[in-house]
Amino acid sequence: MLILTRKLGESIVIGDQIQITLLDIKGKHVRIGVKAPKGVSVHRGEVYEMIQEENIKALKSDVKNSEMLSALWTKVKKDILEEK
Amino acid sequence: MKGGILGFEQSRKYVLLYQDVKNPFLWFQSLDEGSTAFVVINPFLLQPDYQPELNDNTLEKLEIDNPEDVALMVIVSIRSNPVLLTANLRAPIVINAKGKKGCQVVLEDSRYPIRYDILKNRESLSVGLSNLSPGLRDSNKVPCHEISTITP
Repeated sequence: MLILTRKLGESIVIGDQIQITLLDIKGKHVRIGVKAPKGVSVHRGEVYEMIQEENIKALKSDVKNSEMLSALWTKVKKDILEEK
Repeated sequence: MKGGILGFEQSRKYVLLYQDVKNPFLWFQSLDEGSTAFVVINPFLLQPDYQPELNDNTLEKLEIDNPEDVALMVIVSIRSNPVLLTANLRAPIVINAKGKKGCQVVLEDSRYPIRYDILKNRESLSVGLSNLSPGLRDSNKVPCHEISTITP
């Protein structure tokens, strides 16, 4: 990993279209500005990782085939009707 | 974002499968990797007022020019013992039904949970289902066609 030291207001340029600027520092909190072209998505790292993990978890679901999926629906339906 | 389903970027082509039109749970099956199949559901059945904001970036990427062409699916995670059904409302699969292109979009709106408990909110599901029945087929807007997930 490339590690750079930056002062407040200074920035880093990645490629020719992405610029990351250090906007503010307050204690342990750092405000960062990201300038990127429209086609580039920017996310907080932990959200991105959580979604990835959730996808992997979903793939390991306890429903493995169509019969199990049908059974699940039957159960959910019953569950809803009982509630009414 | 690398595109496709986060963590499964190597899979590019998917089909949406349902064997029973009355069952709102569908398969989002990868054509590139047979063992990659997610259970998905139309989020409007879970939350009738679900209204994620899609940014221009997404609309452009999926070449969506008419909002009516957009179909949404959310990935469902299932545990059988004890029964726990959660849906990822934070990262819907956005599909351009006309162009047959889709990708998983991470919403900036933190109101939508990653683990929405479907059974705990069964009243909402009940409302969602009654809104759509008997034409459940309409909720499954995208028929069994190939969908390519794309990279920007």
